Amino acid sequence: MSLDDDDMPTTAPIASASADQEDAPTGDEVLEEEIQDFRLFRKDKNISAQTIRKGEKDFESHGTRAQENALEQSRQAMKEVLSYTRVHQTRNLVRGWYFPDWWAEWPEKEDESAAGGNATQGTQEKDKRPFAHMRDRVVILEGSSVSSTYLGRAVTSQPKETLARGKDWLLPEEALYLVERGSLDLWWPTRGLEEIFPPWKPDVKDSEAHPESEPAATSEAEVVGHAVESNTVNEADEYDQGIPLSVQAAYSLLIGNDGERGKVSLQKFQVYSNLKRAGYNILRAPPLTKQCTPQTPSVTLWQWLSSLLPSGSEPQPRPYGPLIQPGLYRSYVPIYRQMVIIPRHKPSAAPSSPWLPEDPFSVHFHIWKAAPKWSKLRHPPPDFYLAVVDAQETGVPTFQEITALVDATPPAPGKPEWTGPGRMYARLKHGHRNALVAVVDHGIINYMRFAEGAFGEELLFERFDSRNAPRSGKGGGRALSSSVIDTGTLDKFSKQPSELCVSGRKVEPKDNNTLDDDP
Amino acid sequence: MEEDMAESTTVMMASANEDTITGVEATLPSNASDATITTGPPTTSPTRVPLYKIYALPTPIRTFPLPTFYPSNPISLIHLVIVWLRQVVSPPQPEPSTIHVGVWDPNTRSVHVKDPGSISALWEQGFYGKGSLSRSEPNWMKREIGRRESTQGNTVSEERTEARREERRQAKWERAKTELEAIERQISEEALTQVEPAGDIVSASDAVLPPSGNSPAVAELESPLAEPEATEEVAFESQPPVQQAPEEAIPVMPIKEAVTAQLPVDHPIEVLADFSVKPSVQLVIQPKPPVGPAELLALPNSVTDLIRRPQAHEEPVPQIVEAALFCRPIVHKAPVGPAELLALPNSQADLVATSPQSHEEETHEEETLIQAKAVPICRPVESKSPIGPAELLALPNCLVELMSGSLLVKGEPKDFEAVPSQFQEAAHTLPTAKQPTAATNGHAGSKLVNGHAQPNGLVNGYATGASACVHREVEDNDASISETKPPVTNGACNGITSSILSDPASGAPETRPIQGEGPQLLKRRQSVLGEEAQPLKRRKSVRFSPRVVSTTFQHFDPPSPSRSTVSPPKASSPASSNGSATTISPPSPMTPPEPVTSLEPVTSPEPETTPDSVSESGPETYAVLKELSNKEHFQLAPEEAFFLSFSVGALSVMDPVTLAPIPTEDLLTLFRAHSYFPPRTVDSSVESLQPHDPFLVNYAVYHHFRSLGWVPRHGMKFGVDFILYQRGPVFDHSEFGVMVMPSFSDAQWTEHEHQAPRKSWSWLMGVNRVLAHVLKGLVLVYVDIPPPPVFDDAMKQGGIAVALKLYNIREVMVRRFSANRNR
Repeated sequence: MSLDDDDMPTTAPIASASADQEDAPTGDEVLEEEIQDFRLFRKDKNISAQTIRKGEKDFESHGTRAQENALEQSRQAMKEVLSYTRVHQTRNLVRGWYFPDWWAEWPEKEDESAAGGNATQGTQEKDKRPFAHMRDRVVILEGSSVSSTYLGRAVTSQPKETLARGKDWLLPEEALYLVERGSLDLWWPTRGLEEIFPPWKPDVKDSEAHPESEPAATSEAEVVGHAVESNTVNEADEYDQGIPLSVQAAYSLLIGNDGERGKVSLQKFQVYSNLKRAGYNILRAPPLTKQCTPQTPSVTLWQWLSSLLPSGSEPQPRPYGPLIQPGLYRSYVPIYRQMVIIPRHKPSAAPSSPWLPEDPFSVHFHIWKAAPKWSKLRHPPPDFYLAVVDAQETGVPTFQEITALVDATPPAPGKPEWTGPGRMYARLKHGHRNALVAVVDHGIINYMRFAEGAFGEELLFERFDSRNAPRSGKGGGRALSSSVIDTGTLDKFSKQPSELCVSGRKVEPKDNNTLDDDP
Repeated sequence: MEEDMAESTTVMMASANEDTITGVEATLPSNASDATITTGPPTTSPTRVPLYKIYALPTPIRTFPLPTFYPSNPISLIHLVIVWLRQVVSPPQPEPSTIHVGVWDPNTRSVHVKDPGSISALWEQGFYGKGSLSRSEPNWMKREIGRRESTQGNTVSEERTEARREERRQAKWERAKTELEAIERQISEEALTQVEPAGDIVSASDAVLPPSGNSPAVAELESPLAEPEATEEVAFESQPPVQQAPEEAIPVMPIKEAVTAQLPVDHPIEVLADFSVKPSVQLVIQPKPPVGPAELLALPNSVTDLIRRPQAHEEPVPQIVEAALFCRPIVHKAPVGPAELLALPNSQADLVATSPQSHEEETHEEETLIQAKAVPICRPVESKSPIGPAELLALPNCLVELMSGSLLVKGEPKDFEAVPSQFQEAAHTLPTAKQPTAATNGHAGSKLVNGHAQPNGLVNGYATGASACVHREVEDNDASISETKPPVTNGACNGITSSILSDPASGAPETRPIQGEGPQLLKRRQSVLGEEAQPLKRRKSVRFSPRVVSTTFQHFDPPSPSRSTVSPPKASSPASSNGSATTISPPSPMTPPEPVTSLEPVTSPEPETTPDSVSESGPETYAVLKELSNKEHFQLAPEEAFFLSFSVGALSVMDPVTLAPIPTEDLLTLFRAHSYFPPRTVDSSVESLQPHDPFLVNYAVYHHFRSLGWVPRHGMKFGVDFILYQRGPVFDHSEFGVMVMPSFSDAQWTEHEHQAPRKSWSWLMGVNRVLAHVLKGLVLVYVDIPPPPVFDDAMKQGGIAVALKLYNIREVMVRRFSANRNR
């Protein structure tokens, strides 16, 4: 139970209960990884998970009747919870047809242009539509459902006489997820698409083919009601067109190896459905675009000039030390600056790694936290970038793999209020870019977050000079106030106006003219 | 010599600092003022030195900051000028002024620092080494003094930690106790509420539940949980737990028997009501022989259970017991039924554990009574050598168990000589297991009781080891006495050892009594014990096997050197070794019994030597404690030593043989070579030094963090390569654990397909879990290693200072992401 702590047995009932608004944040951060008290479920069916609190855990039976009663009650409550009747509302139920080769010939380039090329950066503009992955879409939906806000994709800007124009097409993981949830009735067609979805005629079922680009935006109840009606009418000849597929059949059709068109690997599907059930919004990440080789950050004239200055005057360190010249020092900054020989990593806006991410260490999914206004076409940049790897076939990523993966994500600096020495740990732990890696070990998913660390940005030694002073709180010592003129500049050993630079750096972390004189 | 030098420099620096300080205000960040403290061990002056002063220096370099100029305070300008002028006129010694001295030790792959001043200075400046005699701060000397001389005032951090832990243990214990009490209260309340309506149910449940044997034992265990009345009652029942068994069996004591028999009749409802709460607990009143499967299952699993049941004795009191009492020969049947087999003791511990109670709780009357009764028993009982499976199982499983018993004898060996006549009496009158206890003078007897009462204490190596030889001797005496019966002193020993030794042997046949003959068990054992001399005598046959001598002795070679010097010759004497060999031989099929040579009497110098050998180890030599030399030494890890030497220049490493300082270049080669095992030699072969030598990679990481101001420390305790402190363990917990990941991304490496061994995900998860448990974050530090040609060029061009620039270091922060928490 504790292993697959993310798979809460109660999450599914909650999710289905609140299927009407999938995006409703279930918000059970409270019951993070522990077993909740099932008895609280029983009191109120609509209870928010937040109110469920965990009880104390007994590790053994101590023979009191109170304990046995509690256990029995809890069992009973769990039974009741699990025996909750799940209702599939007709407006959530749609029928889908499996047409694996319909989009096989679809030119992806056109798709890309429609999608907007900069989707990788996660900063697509409002007008641009995200990458559609049309070639991988294998299931066409009859009508649309609530989940159309989150799943599926229709090809727009097609001529009116195109077959099944404006219909939503599902990716294999989306289709399988809906089938598993019971929201999708997947059918195997025995006729062609043109017969199941007859060409558009102005008089026939106009309402089904929405001219708009976003089918989900229309009134759903009307559409579904129409679909149901048509179903009942066509009940007799329903099986002429195709046969319904079981979940097992859906699995065998849609699960495949990595790289197969129209299929999804089992690991990716497991991650997809796990995150989807946890309430996230997920889209497939667009394929890698050829990134230009990381250009060196442009150097301003002043930086260039200042870089010339110390290099000439700075003496080459002695081959076998000591690195620190013997002498009299007024502060620790020059001492530590003499120790710098190993280059420090400096995070930058442009990706610094010369490698391109390779499977499996590449971003496979973009993930958003549940938000009320999220839609598959209009959404902010992703919250997380996720790669899915198999625990058995891969290991801890190598230097190239991890840097390429992390560099494929946009810079994500920490919160702006994380300034000052007090929040140093938070800054360091957050890193500058980060990517998630879902490690799937035979169905057990473990998410790891890898972030680009930059210890070189935190120069601890700058505080050494002031830290030996008594604290202002204790012993009546005086804290150094801003009115204090730093006499370090008088020192012949402090070569640069370093202290001033330091204070400037803290305000603006991205400023490059810091103390680091990396070669 | 070097230490003296270091000392002198320290003193000089201290005096120099005095001058510097005089004018400086105390409120200013005067690092110089701390020098006096940091160079020597922290002085325990009445006014405590604040930590930030003790641990003032982040590196072994002091700074001399000028006083701050306050525009509002013109005096501060004068002050500034004065200080500056003073430093110009008489400049302080160039830093690093103190050069510590260490000796390279190839065996531990570390640099040993022995000077106490250097040790404490290095510790305070963030060099922790790979380990020292102290757990944290190097304060071995302080601790030793505190430990040996004054128990007061040793305020070493270890002591405080220990005290805190003890406190916490106590608190936990208290908490557990209150929890348990709450549960007990709950149970009793529930029982109370259950009692009133449950009158009929009780009897019904009684009828349903099969009468099984374990009830009194369980009742005793459960007694604290039971409701008050029931508790009393049960306690009363089980009060004369073991020892009463024979007593009750004897019809001479009608009163007690009546009482015990009455009990269940008087308060049946309370007792049963209590147990009806938990159906697993059953109380037996009529011990019928168990036949059904339920009954068999409910049978006790060990003799302990059996012995603890007082009630089972009531009815059986059978003829067999009386037979034993009246000196009729007892025929042991081999246990055949499953119940009997289950009831066999699993180890000697079971048996031994039960006996202390018996000895302790015995009243004097009982003793005398039993003595009187038991004396006649001894002779006629014939005890067969173990043949049946039950008996074999019941035999002691290891010699240690047996040995442990004999420790008791060792304690007062002199008394054997001192009071021979008393022991003679004892030997005659008290040959059973009880007799030692009953012996009125009973040094040996009381010892025996103690030894039995604390079976745990017997486990410790010294006790068993030390007692081994004594045990053997005693046993020999015992053999001799049983044959020849001459020496007086042996009598007591005989009784004791035989009781110990015969316990297992006699326990086996007695496991039969599960079917209600429980009481007989103890009695039987007691009665048999006296006779065990005979079987022991027969088993003495192994006496002259030299092979057994050597093998048996090695296991019990006492750990303390004083003992070991004494005992080996003793062990080599065939007679002494035989004693233990005989006890082992029956259970182990490996040692076949050798031809009986038991008729040969054991010579009795043994008892005389026994006290000698024991007394030799006894007194601690207090003279040694007086001359206490500081054994503390500091083992600087190679990375730390190289950083101090190469980067700061504050350490000079000596060659262990020539005691000449090793130049840094050679030191680097040395460290690199010794980062492999076996150490690589510096030549041009394939197995020579490489740019990815573990030392170089680790040093690159160490230097990287150190040069940023972090305090890295080896993180073996946390399963990582380094842990990073912001200031040091005194001030804060480390926040990060660092795993060094060598990587070979250069094209020249990939050409040769040189790759670091790939770590598995489970490895990463494990490391992360452990670190998360101690609230640290994991940092994977990838070190991109330059290919050999580039590295060699750089080494030629500018030495290691240039070559290190080729190492590319990237930190990757790793954290587990919880999908449930981040929504």
